[in-house]
Amino acid sequence: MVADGVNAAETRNLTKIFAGRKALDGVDLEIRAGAIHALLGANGSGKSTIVKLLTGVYQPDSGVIAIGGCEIGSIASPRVASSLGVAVVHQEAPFIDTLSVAECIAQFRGYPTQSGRIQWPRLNRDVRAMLERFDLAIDPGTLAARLSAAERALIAMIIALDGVRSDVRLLILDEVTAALPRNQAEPYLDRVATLARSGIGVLMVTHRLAELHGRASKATVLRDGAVAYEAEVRDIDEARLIEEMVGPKKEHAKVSTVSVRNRRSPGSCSESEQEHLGEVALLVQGLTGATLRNLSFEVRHGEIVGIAGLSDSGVTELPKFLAGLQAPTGGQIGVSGKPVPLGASPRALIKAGMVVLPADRLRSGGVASLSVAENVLLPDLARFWLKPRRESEFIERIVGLFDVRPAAPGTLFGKLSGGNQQKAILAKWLALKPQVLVLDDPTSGVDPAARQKIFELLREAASNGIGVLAFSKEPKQLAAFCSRVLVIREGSVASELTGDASDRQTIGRWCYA
Amino acid sequence: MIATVFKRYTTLLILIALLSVFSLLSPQFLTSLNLKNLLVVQVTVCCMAFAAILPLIVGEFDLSLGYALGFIMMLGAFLGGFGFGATIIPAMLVAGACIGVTNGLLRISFNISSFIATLGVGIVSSGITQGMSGGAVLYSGIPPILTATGQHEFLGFKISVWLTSGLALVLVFILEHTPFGRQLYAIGGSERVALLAGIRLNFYKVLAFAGAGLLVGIAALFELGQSGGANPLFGPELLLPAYAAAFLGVTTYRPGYFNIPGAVIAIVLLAVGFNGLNLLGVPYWLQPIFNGIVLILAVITAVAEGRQILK
Repeated sequence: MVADGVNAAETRNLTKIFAGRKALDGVDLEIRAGAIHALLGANGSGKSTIVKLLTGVYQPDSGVIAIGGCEIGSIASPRVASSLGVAVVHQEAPFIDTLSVAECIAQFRGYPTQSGRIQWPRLNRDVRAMLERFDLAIDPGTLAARLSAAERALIAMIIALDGVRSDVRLLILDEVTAALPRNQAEPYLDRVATLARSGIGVLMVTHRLAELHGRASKATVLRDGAVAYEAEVRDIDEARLIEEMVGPKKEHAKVSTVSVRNRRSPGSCSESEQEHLGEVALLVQGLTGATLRNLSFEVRHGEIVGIAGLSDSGVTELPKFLAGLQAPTGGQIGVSGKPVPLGASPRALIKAGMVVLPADRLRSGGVASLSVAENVLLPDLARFWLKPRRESEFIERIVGLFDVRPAAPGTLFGKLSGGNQQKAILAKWLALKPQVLVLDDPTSGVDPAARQKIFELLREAASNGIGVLAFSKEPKQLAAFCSRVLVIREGSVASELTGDASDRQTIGRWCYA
Repeated sequence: MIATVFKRYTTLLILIALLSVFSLLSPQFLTSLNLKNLLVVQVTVCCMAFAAILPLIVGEFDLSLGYALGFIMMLGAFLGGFGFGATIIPAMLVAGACIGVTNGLLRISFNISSFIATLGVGIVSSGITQGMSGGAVLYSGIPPILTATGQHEFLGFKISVWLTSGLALVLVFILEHTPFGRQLYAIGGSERVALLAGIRLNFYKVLAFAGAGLLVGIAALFELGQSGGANPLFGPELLLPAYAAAFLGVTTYRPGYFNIPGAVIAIVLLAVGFNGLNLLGVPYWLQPIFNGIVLILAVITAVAEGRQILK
């Protein structure tokens, strides 16, 4: 093991360019041996690029990496990284659910054999010893599917450490705790802390600030590929840290005031908005699931409400409930004053007047092998049965209205760009004239022009009295077009931001706090 | 434009090429008797291919088709033996639909793979077939209306050929011009999207299997009429040709999708190939080799095109 005082790993002026854009721009990082170093940052800030440079997946365009005090410039491959003593654990635990723990581990370190035959007793003995070294009382014969989330994470870590082809100097945990329920994250982190104390440097990529306390020694915040803030955890300024994660206020206040003014400009929207802001379109009361806890809110007709939150807050579960893909364990959903039974099918929810634009366009949004026309008409094919002329007129009009390009309805959906696919899916749902339109991450992978068009269409939908509920992983997007933003934390609404308060910074602060 | 037409109808062009080559090489080939016989023996496999296509469109396999054909024919002959006469016709159709519904319900209620569900149902029905036959070929009491379809002619073609053509047209209409058919294709394209669009996935899948069973019932009617009896061992050998035609059909008419006209063209192509090679005196065992190679080559081209479609 490495003596205290030496850095487990260091980077100096690390720069990586992708397609002419600097993903990392001169990052200096010192990861001390024997301590946990937290690496924070919003999506796209460069966290995962650093991980990939340190593990040899990518090589830097300039800058220097040093592992265990020995400078090596760049790490040529994951194999080299491993021989330098770098271990990495990814969020997805590398298990085959149908195999035993011993066999899962054997996939990585190989089966002990004697003249070609697997020596089961030896495999079990070895695995038991590996697990015991980390105080894990798990039988090697346990089926991987039966492991708890924390056990999976721990065994994944053991596998990663075991795979390193020299003394372990640096252990990278890449958003591992995001997959853990909070009560299981605590004991897991305690183990990591114990491991760090034995002299290993641990780089923890994470979203959660709270779990740092008492465990991490240093925290670095990345923003736009550069270090925005760095401090010892004991004298960290949390408000500052969050501010640095979401970005400076000035730059972005411009964006949001412009859009706010747009929305509220006299004569155009504000009057009609007032007029249509009427009855409750979507009522959610006490909704409870695996991560949601007693979530309640309402969306009125003519209103665009945004929902923000970190991935473990429950925001990923809610759209599935609203689409009818999963049944909540408790609570009530009502559309336009009529209650919808819990666990109603997608069909029933559509009939009730609620449609959901899902997050993964190609898997859930549209059928790639069918034409744009077929996709748009899919939920309502019977409407134009034996009326091919009216059907094609209708589809021509819709394609023009939603500005789907190319404007040929016969084009295969899979051939469209991301933005045009999204417009086509939006057309599919709005053609049904729903009461409530739910959008799950509507702007991801959508080009700016299409994004503007989508915002415009959503505002129009709202002014026609549709209640719009939008989920987004990017607070900036919500700030740009929502009149109200609900921030979800730990399964329920932590805050409701309206008007000027619903800017990106405030949303970010509430999410991360 | 010409390129797309060529791509769409490659199999049809190969068929025309084969027809001209064989008519040049063999004087018997272009005789009306030869062509009529060529078509009439394809009626059963044609209906079987239609039966394979319905579950394939929704992304499912029906391995019971061959066994079910034998079972339904045997059921008809068995009931005919008791003097039921023409009432065996509806009985056979209902039996086919019942087998299909069973397949579909097993598939969706227990969420088991359609391979396993339909294989199991097929094997069970083959057992019942053996039981009904008592190990012998049953040929008494087949209603004359059935035998007539394979013997009498109308406007130069056997009645069974006309009926099959009509059936093909009805299926094309259902699959392409009704909401039901278009939703089936959507389910095959993406179950998840279809579910989220409010399509009753499970119900439609059962309907697809039921339709397949019904079509096997029709195939059984034609075959019973043509052969005049039910052999307990007959049936399973038609499974693979039916699927071969269904897959080959993907290359034609609506490239990339399972479709009826494509399968019909494929069947005629293979039949012409068989017949022509036969007349030319090529050894009989070259025939399966020809069929297999045509199938693989055609599907390779289709897959290559499919990749272009999706990218």
